[in-house]
Amino acid sequence: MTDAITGLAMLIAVPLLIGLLLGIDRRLTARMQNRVGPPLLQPFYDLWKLFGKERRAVNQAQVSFAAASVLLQFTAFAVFATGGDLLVAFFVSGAGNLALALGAFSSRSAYGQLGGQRELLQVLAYEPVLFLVIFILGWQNGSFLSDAFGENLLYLLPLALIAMVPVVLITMQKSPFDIATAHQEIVSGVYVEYSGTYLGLLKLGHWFELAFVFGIITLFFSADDIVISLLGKSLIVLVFVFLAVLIDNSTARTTRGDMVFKTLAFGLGLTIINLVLLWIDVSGAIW
Amino acid sequence: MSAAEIDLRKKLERMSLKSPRPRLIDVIAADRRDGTYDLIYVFHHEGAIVDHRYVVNEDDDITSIADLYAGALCMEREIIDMYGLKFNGVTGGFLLDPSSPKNPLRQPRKEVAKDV
Amino acid sequence: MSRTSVIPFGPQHAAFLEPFHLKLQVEEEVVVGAEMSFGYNHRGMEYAMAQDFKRTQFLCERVCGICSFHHSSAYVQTMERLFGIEAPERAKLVRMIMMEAQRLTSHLLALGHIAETVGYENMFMQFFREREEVMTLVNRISGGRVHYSMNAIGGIRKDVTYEGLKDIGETMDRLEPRLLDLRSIVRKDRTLRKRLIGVGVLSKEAAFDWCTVGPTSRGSGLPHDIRLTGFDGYGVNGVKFRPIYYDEGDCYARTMVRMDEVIQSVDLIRQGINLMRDGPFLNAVKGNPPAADAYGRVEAPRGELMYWVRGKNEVQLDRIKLRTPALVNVPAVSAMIKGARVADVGPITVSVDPCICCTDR
Repeated sequence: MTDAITGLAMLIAVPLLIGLLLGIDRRLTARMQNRVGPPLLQPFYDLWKLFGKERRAVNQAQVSFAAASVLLQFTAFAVFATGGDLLVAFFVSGAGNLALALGAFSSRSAYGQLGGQRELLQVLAYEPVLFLVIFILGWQNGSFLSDAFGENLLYLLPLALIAMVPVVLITMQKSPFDIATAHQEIVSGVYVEYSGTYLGLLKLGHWFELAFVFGIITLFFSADDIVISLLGKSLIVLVFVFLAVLIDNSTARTTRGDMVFKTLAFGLGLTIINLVLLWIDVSGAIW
Repeated sequence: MSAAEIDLRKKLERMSLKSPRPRLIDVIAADRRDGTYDLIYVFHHEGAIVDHRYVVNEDDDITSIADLYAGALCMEREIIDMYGLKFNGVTGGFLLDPSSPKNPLRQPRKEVAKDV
Repeated sequence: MSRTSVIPFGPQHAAFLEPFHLKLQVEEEVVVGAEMSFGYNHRGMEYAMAQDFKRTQFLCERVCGICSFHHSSAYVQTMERLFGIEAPERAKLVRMIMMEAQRLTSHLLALGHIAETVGYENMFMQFFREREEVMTLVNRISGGRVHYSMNAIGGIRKDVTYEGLKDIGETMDRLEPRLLDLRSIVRKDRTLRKRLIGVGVLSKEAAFDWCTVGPTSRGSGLPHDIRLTGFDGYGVNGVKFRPIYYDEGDCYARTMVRMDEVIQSVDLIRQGINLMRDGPFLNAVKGNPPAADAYGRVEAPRGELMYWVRGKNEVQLDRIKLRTPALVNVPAVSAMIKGARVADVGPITVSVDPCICCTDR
């Protein structure tokens, strides 16, 4: 019973926290660029305004795909929040991204097509890394159920955590890897043919996706004391957001091929090294 | 091609072969208010402006120099738009579209030009 | 099997500041062909400017917002030639200082723009912060941020005060270390170099063939600079100037030309202030422009800007022709763009600093 209540509380609280996190992200970005920046709650205002706008769509398929995307992302996050299987959540979230790309393809806009292709390419780049990280987490934990994580894995899996940096950059649409939504190249790519309420839906879907990805990151840390545990988890998330903003503000955008290659080489490389170290450790060689 | 045009073409070709090669700055057209037009080819040669001036008729087929200088193409297209002159193998529509006023820079003929 | 699809770039596009249209033929995000069309911003300037030669000195600033003072300097210089008078030395130096100040604002805008196009938002903000410093400076000196309206045929309308000159000097002292910092970032930043080096190469021959001018030609190894020959101000005794050029011909070379010229402009402004002597600043003209013609050229931020004026002994001018640098630079984009990736179309077009106000007039 208490589990159900915690799950329900998480379902409501975490998306709100993600909105707040995006607000922090925008303030932080602004401060790094010597600007004042928007109010902390600006992402909520934006979403509120989008939902208040006229409903206009290019075609019906587009609406279905937007709805599918947000529902799938929500399901992925819900599976995670209610203590479900991480692998299930991972695949559902991947399907949400696919729906986003299909929504872009369903319009005949050249920019939508390019954005859809690039979105798929991004999925190709970061999902293997995310999958491997989830795999290694579950293997160490002995279970893929998200509520079964009660152990501190940070000291066992430091490299796998670092491998999450490009994943977070891609999902947060940050500078070196924001190719699917590259504003100056393909005019927000996948989002270009959406407006009003449906754009708001996609943004909400993006919040759920972020909630899931940041959720995975929080699994790395755990402590017996619930307060320390929560503090540690929040700290990791904040450090990641800070890193993402820092990298965003000190790099230009890379190109498609570069993104795939770098993310895969960096992410998979680090995770596999971590895996090998652990495997040696199992046989009692290092620590 | 009339004798005058062959002469123009030859001169410009000779000009473009000089060493160091002169840089084309602009092709200017100006109305002479008697149905003829000044066509001025302006070059930058050895640190100064060198220009070649020709007088052409409204319906002359003027030789394009886009094969000598690729950059001349847009200048010629602009003249087609503004004055309605004809260049061989060049079409207008650079600044104006079909619904725009025709030949906006053509001036009234001299007899009626006292409009101060 | 390859399939060509068409991507419309512009007239309204996030990477362009001004409206022009690029029709790209694309195979798998590689550009195989491009068609450009212009005219979205055509205002009939050449007609309007021929109506009254005195008002034209203000109207010509309205051709373009980022090289307005160069336009008016070129115009008054042409008119001075037509009238057969010479502007006083002090006026020429003031023009030179203000032209270099405007080159600072224009180049910093272009540099910020190119940083923005490759997704480097932070660098964009840095460039615009420095630009704002120059913008407020010219506002203090002339009373306008964009249109200075300081020129008059025969000199300048109002003298720059001693305090004004001191202000310019102090601002340059404040600005220079920050610009040098920015230059070292542009030189070293790996992601920026990766995005710009080898992209949109324009060979020396092609640059000449397309008649390119300014940073576009200087980025391709052609050391054309009208400041050496054209504008009188730079010929005044003792202004030391040497054109900056790079041989590579890619977007990075064009960017570096601008970056170095920004530093050079600071130096030229200082030289101008040091050469300033008290004296007259206006040789007023009387009567209407004679029925003759004259050329006038200045080096605008985007390259050589030429005016040709023919008078007819009336208030009206018989013909005024502007050859703006963008008219030859922007079409050259079609030579750079073949074989580029879609992601590079933005940087390539922005690297020639397309000023469509100037192209369309």
